[in-house]
Amino acid sequence: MPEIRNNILNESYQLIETDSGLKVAVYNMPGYNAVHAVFATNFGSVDRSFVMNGEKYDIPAGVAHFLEHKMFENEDGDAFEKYAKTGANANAFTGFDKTCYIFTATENVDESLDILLNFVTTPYFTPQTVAKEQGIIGQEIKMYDDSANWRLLFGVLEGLFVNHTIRDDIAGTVESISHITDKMLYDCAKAFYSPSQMFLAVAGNITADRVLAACDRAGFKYEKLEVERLKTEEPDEINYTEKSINMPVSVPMVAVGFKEKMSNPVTLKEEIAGEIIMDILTGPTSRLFTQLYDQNIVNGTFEGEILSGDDYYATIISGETRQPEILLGEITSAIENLKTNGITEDDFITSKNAMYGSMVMDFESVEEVATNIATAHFKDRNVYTALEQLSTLTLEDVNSQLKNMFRRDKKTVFTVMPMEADND
Amino acid sequence: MKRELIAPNVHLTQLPNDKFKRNRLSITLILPNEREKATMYALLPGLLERAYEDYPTLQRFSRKLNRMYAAQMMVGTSVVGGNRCLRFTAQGIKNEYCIEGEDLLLEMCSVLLGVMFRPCLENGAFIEEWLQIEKYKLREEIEGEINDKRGYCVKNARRKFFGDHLNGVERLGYLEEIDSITPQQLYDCYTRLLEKAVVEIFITANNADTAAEKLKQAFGYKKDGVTKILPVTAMPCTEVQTYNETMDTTQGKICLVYTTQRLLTEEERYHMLVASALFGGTASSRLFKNVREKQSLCYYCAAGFNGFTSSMSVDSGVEHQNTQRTIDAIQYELDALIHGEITDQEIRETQLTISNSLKANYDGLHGLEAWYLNEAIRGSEMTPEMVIEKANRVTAQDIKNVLKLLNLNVIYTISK
Repeated sequence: MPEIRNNILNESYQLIETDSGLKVAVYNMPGYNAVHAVFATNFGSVDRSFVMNGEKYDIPAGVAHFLEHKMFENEDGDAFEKYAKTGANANAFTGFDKTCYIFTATENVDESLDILLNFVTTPYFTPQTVAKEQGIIGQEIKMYDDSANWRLLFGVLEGLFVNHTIRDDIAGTVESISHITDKMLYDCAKAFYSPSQMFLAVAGNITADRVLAACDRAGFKYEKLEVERLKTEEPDEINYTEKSINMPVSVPMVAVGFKEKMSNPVTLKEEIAGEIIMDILTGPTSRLFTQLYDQNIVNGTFEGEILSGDDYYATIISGETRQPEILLGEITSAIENLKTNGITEDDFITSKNAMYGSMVMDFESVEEVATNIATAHFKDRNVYTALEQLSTLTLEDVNSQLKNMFRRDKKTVFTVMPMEADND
Repeated sequence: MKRELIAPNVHLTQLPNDKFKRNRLSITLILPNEREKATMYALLPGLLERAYEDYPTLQRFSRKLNRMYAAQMMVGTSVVGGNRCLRFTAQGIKNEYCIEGEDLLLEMCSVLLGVMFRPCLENGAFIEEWLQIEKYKLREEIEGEINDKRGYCVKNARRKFFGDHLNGVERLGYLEEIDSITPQQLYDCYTRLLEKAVVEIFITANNADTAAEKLKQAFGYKKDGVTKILPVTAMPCTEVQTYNETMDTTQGKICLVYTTQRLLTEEERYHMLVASALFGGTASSRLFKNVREKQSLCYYCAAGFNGFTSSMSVDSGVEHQNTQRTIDAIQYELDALIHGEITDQEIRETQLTISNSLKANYDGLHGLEAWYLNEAIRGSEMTPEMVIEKANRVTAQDIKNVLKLLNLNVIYTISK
């Protein structure tokens, strides 16, 4: 069986393509009680337009997430009820660029694999079940509407991107999901849930033979299907430079986002270099964070992050502050300083060491290993590629990328302010 | 697992670590809670974890930890029933993964003991400037609880439920007390904690003899074995108290809090474990199946039992106009379990879910340690397997009997 190996960890896993076109990865982790399985498709919230066998389909915001909910219901019952018979802890989640169906089990693993492989590939929707789900997801959307952090993130994304669907909430809106029909869900399931489109990653106390036996029992057949994802043309310009909303929060929340220009598709090296730059600029060892923390301008919520996919790359710095103007000024000067002086060798080594440690830690949990294998797979990488690339990354690489980041005219600022009455 | 008494009131537990990529060391100080010290306990974590004598600034200490391959040094405080815990944890990758061949386990041990016993001081007390910073942060954290509407609703419901009882002492203390705390008062509070507290030390690492020896030596000073961890107490039953708070939110929130009125017996603890999971603790529970899936009333509706206060809370987020309907639906499901049919299949499925989740404790550094720490606080030494065996014997009648003990004391809602 094809094996992928890493010498730093002295570990390996199997990656197999079955006759049905389904690709399967199995990471055996001796000593663990549990098995974690991720059955994933790279259909996420950003996918809103595609061509299947020559026909074009446009779908409203929130379909991938809606489909995730509805997949749990089959004609012969609810998948949670089936899992209840095995004791597995099951769930699912939808991201910008993938949907994952997961379970963790310490016993009856074969039976749980059968349930997973079966329900995710057996769509069953009716107008009634779609209507019922509109109620449940409507409540989920409203729960996120009340989350200031969520609103802050999407406020920045909406400011940075003019057309790209990354700016839309993963679950859509109450209005957008009202347009979802059972037929639409069937079309999407056909396009993105056939075995050749999917990936199964399993980690923990299990062998590849057992996983492959489950795939055999599922009886998947190869289905010839031509699916092309259509990307929206995104200009280099941003949508707006600043916006503010009011919510019931105690302290104002600020996010500064930059639209970055990277390769298309974005490379792993660009992602890792960006992480290091953000750590040095905003991390716990940075001058910016430690000074602002001690001046009570920011608290522990202050953070910098990279949000990237094939065709988008944004850097976002955010946190709670009672002095938004001062914080914004300090962030701007810290960026200018770093860009003028460059990153030092000492800062680079410190940050690289920390990143290496964090990457090694990711291999101790069955959940993280299986999820990371699936994430890497959809980016045409293996789960060790990042660890290997980190060791080859140089200070010159990072400084050269830094020069092109944080462009002044590609910046948006989004704030969540307390309600008027709360300011009194 | 090896557990030994290394000094009066100090236990050291060593857990094997063959499979994890990291090692973990933790020291938990446990004392009966005191209402008047709550705010001081809440200020300690931020002050202690930011620096210590060897790395006397926030930036230098953070840099040191990053150089140690993103090792973490955390100080946290929690309220467990009537007790207060202050926990120091150091974790980082195993020595075999260190690029330069460092002995990271020993370094982590030094950092852990440094943070605990050699904090940065001025004039024999905590540093005034740092205390002012942490006071500001604590004030922000307390005021910021409203940002998470779900958590805010549950916290307020529990405040009404506990009233002035010791079980309800605030983990973050009290806003109005922050200003008056002095560096000397806080330092005295901390030294008293070091002197009096019951101590639970955990080492999750192999080949840790040297680290264990260092930790044993560090606690050689402990002479006082008088302090006792407070046992569980249940809140008395009251008439239902209903509270509604208005807030401009998109979604309404509900939290119901029940008391068992008396302490559960050892056997009833396992009955409640199964009963609360069947009621609202799993994705096949009655609340999930009926209130969420069948009636489509909400995205979440979950029940959780707290064994340290013998109380159960149920919370949900709903359309504002569905608030009363959801409360009625929750009560109906509880009533249906007590008076209606519970099938053997439902019980078996719930037991399987519990078994699955308890066995998974062995697969996480934190889960394993937390399990044995909770057992130590409870004064028990049950393993996950022993609890699974007990849960597997629970019958429908056991579930009905233990749920009958629940009395609804508080309904707290947030609406427009």
